[in-house]
Amino acid sequence: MKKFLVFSILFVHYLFADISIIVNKENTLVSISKSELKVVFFLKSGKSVLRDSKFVKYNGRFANGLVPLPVDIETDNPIYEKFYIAIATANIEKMNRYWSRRIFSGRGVPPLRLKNEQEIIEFVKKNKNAIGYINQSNLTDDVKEIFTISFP
Amino acid sequence: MFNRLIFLPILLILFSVHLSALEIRLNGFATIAAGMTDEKDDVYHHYDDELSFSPDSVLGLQLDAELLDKLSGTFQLMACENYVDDDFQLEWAYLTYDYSSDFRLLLGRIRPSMFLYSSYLDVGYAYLWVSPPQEMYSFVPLTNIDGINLSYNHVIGDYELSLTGWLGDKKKIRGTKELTFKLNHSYIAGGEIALSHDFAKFRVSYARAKLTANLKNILLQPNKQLLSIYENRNTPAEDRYLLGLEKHPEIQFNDSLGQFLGFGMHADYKNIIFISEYIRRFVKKTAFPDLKSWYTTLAYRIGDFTPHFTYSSVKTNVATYTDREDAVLESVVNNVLQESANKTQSVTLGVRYKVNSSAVLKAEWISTNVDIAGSVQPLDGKINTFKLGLSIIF
Repeated sequence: MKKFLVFSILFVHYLFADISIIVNKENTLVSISKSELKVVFFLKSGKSVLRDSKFVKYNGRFANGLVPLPVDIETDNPIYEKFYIAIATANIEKMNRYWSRRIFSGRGVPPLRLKNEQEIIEFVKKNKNAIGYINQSNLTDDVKEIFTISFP
Repeated sequence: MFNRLIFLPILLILFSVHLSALEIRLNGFATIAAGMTDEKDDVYHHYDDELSFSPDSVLGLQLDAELLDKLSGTFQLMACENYVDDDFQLEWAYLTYDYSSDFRLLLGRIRPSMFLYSSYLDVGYAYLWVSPPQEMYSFVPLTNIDGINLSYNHVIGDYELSLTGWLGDKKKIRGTKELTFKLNHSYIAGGEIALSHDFAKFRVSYARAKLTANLKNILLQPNKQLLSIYENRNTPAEDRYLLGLEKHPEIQFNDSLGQFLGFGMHADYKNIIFISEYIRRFVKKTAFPDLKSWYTTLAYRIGDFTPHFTYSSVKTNVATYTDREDAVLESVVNNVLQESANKTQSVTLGVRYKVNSSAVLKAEWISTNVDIAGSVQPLDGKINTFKLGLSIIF
């Protein structure tokens, strides 16, 4: 029962905590839209989002011209599903189906998935063009927040 | 099949240890399916009246490696009971060159997207049924080709447009337990136009190929009895028959032009899923029939359960031949033509259950009204098939 209570509190915490979209501090970008996030994290224009490719507006380049390098979190972390539901109304199952279709039809692999939010912060700190998402409560000075997904 | 599976974990470990420095991704999919029918030997669904684990079971491994900037390699290895020669088949092996974010070039063994589900046909996790409707998916045995594939992808707002073209050939095809023969597809050329939105996808595909097949033995078998009439004469029956085939080259594939046209759509809105496909197949200059096939699926998601309903149908248009000089030969030829006469419909009722985020359990009941006139195994009547499958991705 106690375990359940702790879990519920954690769950509620995750459910209502806002999500911060973070980039490297050197990135001049100041904001990003939900649909742009979708293009970046769904690698909509193919594998090449991970590479140096030409992307304008909707097709992957940040507004400042940098090619985004999305970094993801492992799917069993609650923030994963929360993020994808928020930007694309897609739950884990839908995301898994999306990626299994893309992987096995040879249209690319998902963004790198790290273990936890600390690793994501580290990754974004190290990579100039990286973009990730974390719970706002875990936000540090090491990275820059460019967008907040708010939950009621 | 399974003795070779032992090597997979070893392979896995080797790859993960030695290649961890490179950007390597290893993914896999598997379906364990069992099924049975109320027919003793159901050559249509390849099941019989006892519960068996083939033929929808499959194991696939895919390795994606970033080789150089813009250049990557993909290998997909598959094991399934349907394959004739090898337990493991190199289903895919190609190099990808990302010319730009929109253009990609694939070189090697690729999969032409002729159907809606072609490109992930064996990944049971990605669709509703244990296997896609037999009335459509069993009539074009071309699962991969050796050649090139050029694709263009563009995102405009919430819409994604993709244009794909492929060129190549295929020397050998995957056969079934019942039927193995050589069929060469050469000068395969085709393409797909697809437009997708968040919850819907529409597609059109076209493909053509020159077909050459050695069907002599297969054509001979069903007509042996008929041929026995000739036995007493000077020429042995088989020779006589082969002469007949030469006289009627139209009943064989001999550099014949085969064409394929496919339409498909998939919509997933709120909890309703609607899928439909329609295909036409024509083989010019042979007596092999034109084929028309379609299916429609409706499904509704209720929590972790997705019950679904499918109606599928296939219909052929068979020609008849006359040979005034040789009545026996005429009936032989017509017998051969009738082999491929097919007018079959199925109703599939099934349910897909989400076990967890990477595993689904599927159960389905298929009621098929078979009407295949072939003289090898004429099939006529109703067959009930029950299938159960577990599909995972990893």
